[in-house]
Amino acid sequence: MISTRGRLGKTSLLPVTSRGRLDRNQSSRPIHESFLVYKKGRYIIQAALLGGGAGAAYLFHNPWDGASGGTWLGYALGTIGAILIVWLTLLGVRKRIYRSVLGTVEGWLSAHVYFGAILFLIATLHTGGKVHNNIHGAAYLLMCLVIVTGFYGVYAYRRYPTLMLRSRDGLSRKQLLQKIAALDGQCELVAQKLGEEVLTVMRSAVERTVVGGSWWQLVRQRDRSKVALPEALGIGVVLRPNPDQKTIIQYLTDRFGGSGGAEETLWLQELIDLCAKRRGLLEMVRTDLRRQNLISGWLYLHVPLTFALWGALTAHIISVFVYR
Amino acid sequence: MRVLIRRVGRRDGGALEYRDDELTTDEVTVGSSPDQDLVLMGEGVALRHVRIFRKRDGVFETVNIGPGELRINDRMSASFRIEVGDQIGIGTHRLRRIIAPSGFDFALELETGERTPEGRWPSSGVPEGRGLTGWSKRGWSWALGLFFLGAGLVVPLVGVYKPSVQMVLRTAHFAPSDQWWDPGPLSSAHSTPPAGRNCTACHGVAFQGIRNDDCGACHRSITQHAPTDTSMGAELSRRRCVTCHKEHRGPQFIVRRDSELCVECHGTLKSSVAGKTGLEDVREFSKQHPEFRLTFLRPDEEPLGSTWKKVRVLIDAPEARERSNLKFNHKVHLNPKGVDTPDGKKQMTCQNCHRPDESGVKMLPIDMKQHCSECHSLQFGNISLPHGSVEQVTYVLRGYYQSNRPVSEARIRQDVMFGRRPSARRPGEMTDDLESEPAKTPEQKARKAARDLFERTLCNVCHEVRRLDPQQEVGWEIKPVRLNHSWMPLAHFSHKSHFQAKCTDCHAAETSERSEEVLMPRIKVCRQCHAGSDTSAGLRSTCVVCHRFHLPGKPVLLQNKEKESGSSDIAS
Repeated sequence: MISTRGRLGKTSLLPVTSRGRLDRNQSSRPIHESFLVYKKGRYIIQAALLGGGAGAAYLFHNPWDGASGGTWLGYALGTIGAILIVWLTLLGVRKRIYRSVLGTVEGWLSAHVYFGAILFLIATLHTGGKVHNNIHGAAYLLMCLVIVTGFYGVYAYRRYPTLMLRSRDGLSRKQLLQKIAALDGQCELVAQKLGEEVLTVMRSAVERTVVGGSWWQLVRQRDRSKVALPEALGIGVVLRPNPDQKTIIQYLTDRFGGSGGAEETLWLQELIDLCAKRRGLLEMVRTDLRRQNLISGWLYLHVPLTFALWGALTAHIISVFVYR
Repeated sequence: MRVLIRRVGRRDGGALEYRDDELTTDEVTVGSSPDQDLVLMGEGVALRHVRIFRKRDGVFETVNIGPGELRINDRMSASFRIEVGDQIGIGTHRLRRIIAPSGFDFALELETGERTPEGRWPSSGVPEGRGLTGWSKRGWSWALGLFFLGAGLVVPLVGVYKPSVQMVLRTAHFAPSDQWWDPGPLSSAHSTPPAGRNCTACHGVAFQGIRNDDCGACHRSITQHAPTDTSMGAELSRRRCVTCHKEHRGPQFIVRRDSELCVECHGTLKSSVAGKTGLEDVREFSKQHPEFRLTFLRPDEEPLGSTWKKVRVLIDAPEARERSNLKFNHKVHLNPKGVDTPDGKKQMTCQNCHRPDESGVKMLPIDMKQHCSECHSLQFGNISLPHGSVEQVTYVLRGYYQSNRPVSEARIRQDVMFGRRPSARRPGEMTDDLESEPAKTPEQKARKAARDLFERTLCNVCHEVRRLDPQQEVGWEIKPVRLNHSWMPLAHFSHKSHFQAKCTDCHAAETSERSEEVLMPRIKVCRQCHAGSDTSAGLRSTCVVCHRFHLPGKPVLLQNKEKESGSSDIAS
């Protein structure tokens, strides 16, 4: 029997290599292996062979007019690069066709990463180092951007899912939110013991707690929560920022030593504890959301840039034949 | 036993998501307590809810151990044998037995209908926030893709077929025109009108590549390389200009400079066009290049000197002797002790006579008046004799003696000997002839002076002089002089590029005593510095360092092709 706590799961679509505290007694192959070492790195070997072959050909190729896309090797590398780009893009199609028999998505992803990386070499050799301010240079630049965003995607997929699973403490995000909701109720119950003012302030702190926001706000993870505090003279309220629930906790702490006596101190202590727990859970949710959005965000660059690349690549290929 | 628990979730987009847990245990306990194997939260889940175990007969059974409800296949139950496909309901959760993958004894799929506190916090709406919902990858993707396709291809392509549109596109700022396709910097000559930013000046017809006619629109005088009556020559004349002249790569590749193309034909020229060429095979400069052949000028005998024909002769051959009809001794003129001049001894250098032209590439022609007359003066008494015509000289002499001025024998002697400056010694000076045969009348005096000047003291110092009729006292023929100015017309040589060398490093002038001797260097002299195209030792020299592809004097390549049959003086 193993402990429930810290038991790590793995998702099929978000492969993770680190096995955390999994049962070490298992002898058979793990259910999941990273796409980076898929089939013992079959595709890294294939991609390296392709890159090595292209590099060797480039070194031995010595045209009188210098290396460029216009030599026979330039055309060959350009053709290979264009085919690679078409095939790399097809990952987006393959992963939508669940009935496909053309290999697993995991295998496709593994090959996508390595052949995508080697595409940078192939295309750079294709240019012969001659990149200018024109549609051809634009296609090359877009390809580089697609590859760079792809590299970030590999990084994000390698790093964040593990971190997310670990930091959520085995709970789902919805469970975290349920816990916060439960704490909200408890806070209100305890606040009722501390009088009208504290209850109003506590309610405003709960109601004005902000977790979500735009993608940018989620990634920056800045707490935009607020709390309505009574004015100094006791007339009206003023809205104050409440990052990390600091303001409400400070407000409650300031009420220690009031006229309520020992019982009020105990309730205050209880409420502060609840707020602190709530703060911890909110922090967990925000961190989780940040990582979740970092994982999904890069695709919003990777995919549109890929389409832009297709446009520029088509223009590049056809235009060089318009004015040969 | 090894148990797989597969959690099924749904992403925001509705796609299924699986998360697998695996554990090794004798029985699976389920409940909300942290010590349970499978912890389920939410309403209706007891701390210890059910346990699932394998009985001795291998059958799996589930038993309700807590106060919570247990639904098996949506029917309330306390315990049940569970087969693959059976469903266990606990609170809002549903556990379904699935086929265990290899390596597992038992597998459950868990789907949870969790309730979320949506709308709890009014300021955020959905607590998880909008994130990237509302953003569309698809919209951006199509927009960007179509932008680059349209601006990079479609709009410029419209311009290619509609010149009026093209003009607007090219002149408007930031408008996508065919200049977006410009693959790189042009060579300087092509970066000005009519080419420059006007792509169609050279790219005449879309999708056809640059045709030779496109080049011929400007380069009308470009000549052929080889006679087109050989298969090689014909093939060469059909090649596209752009195979050797690469544009949009900067100035470096506008002319092909490697030897590969040349050696393709010239490496085996003798055998491939046997009998049609006098050229030797060449593979590279340092070892497989024939000795130089010089182009000599040979006068036609009749009528004398009216035409000069060019003859190519191997530099080592006995007939490689210049026949310029000029007598000249380089050794005397370059005597380090100096040469006699009217102003005394003077040390001459090559530069006294051989001056480069403005480009520094070639030497200016030798001119008698400019280079010789300072010492070789034609001054006679107080008159200056004309250079170039026998008749004029005799006429002027006659006039000189028939004038009323008294001329003494001694004066005539002095004049003939020294010109105006009796103290100066002239080259070819003769002193004793006039005294032996004193002249009487002015006519006799003039004849005598002419005879001495032509045959002894003046003209014949440099020229080949022959008396036309030995019986007659006067009448001479001076052989016409034509100095060779272009010894290797098929090669390009720049004196300026060789400024670091002394003249005598290549031209053995200091030891040359006769003008017949050719002072052009042999190939071994060049090879002291110049090496082949593939070597690292020496100055790497390809064919085009010295030779040009489009040969001067050949028929025009890009136009007037009907004239090409009349080609072919090699030396022209």
